[in-house]
Amino acid sequence: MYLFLVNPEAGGKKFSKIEKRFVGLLDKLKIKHKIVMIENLADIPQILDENVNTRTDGVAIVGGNATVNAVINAVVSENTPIAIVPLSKTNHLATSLGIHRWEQALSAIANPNLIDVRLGKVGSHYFIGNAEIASHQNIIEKYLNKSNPLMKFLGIRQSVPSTQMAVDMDITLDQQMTIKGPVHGIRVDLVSDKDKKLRVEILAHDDNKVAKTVIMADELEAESEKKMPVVIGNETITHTPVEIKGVSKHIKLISPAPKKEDKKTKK
Amino acid sequence: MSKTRSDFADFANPDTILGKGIEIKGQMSTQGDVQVNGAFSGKITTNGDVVVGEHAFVDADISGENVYVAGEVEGDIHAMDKIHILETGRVNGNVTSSALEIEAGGILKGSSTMRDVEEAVPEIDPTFEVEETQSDKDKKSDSK
Repeated sequence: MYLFLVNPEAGGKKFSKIEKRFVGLLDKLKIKHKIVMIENLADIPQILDENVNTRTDGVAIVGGNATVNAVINAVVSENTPIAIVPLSKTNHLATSLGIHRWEQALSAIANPNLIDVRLGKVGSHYFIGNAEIASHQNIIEKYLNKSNPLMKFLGIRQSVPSTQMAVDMDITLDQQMTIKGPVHGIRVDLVSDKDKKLRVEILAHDDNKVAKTVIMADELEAESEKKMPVVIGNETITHTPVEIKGVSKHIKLISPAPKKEDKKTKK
Repeated sequence: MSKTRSDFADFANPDTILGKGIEIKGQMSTQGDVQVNGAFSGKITTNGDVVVGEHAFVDADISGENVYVAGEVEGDIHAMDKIHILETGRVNGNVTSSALEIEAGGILKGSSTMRDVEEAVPEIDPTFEVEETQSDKDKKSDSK
């Protein structure tokens, strides 16, 4: 049985509009469920305490970022599988999982693919996988490079960004190291197999080449001369100044099953 | 063309790369191999190898398993195993290691201590015998 914690306010009270279809799809997918409406996010620990037991297959969070954060903070056991069901456009954890619609999330619950992930936080938002900080020009250029068929045909993946596109940044790692200089972008990957939680890759500029710096850290603070977007998946979730940290907590997330092509390539 | 660790040994994918174009300062304490290609000041401590690339400038004490210097280091180097100063390398500081190799053209301005010798010193017994004086013999007989 899955416990569905629904934030009725999320996404402009979206749940009330889709409730019939939502429950209909749960029944169609034969997902045993109990739906609990969250009146107040502060009540979540008590709701979990009263409703999660040995017969609970998992907890599904139905809402946006605020709901996800509140539930993950309250989930004590790292063995309880968690499903993220996006209702609002701001559900970054769902985006990092590749889930953009609530229907996709329910299909994932019906055919669960459990992944054990380390969580990271950008400001107060949880994320998995990676986060990127890049100047607007670099993001546009990256998009154009990706979508340019001629470049694809020629096998050119990425052109070297010009010096003008770099932004002066001030980066602090673990409050022990400072990094200053013009930077094109920063990519932060959450890692589980190292002594530190984050792999921080900084792209700077040197003699018409991109110079890469890679450092392992637990947390990063970044400030920049111009505001730089912080992107998770394809969504900008905030701008610099920003704090990104790896969280000790691991959780079991329900993600969509790998695509058939992936299975074939694995074989 | 700058020299990287792969020019010295199998070191295709270091865990830490301190690249060019930015200024990095502070205490780096890490596990795994470290490659410095740009400028760094502070302190580097790792249980892996450290490579100071040809155009790198490191103003820091370095501790690692093996330390390869093709650039410039201002500071002391402690290697559990080997320190290798290449032809373009320059070290202005004291070095401690089990083995030291300096290629022609490489510069070391500072003292060098071999780790094995340093650790063995307190355990070495004197290899010469002290001739007993008459007073020593008298003391021994008194104690009996």
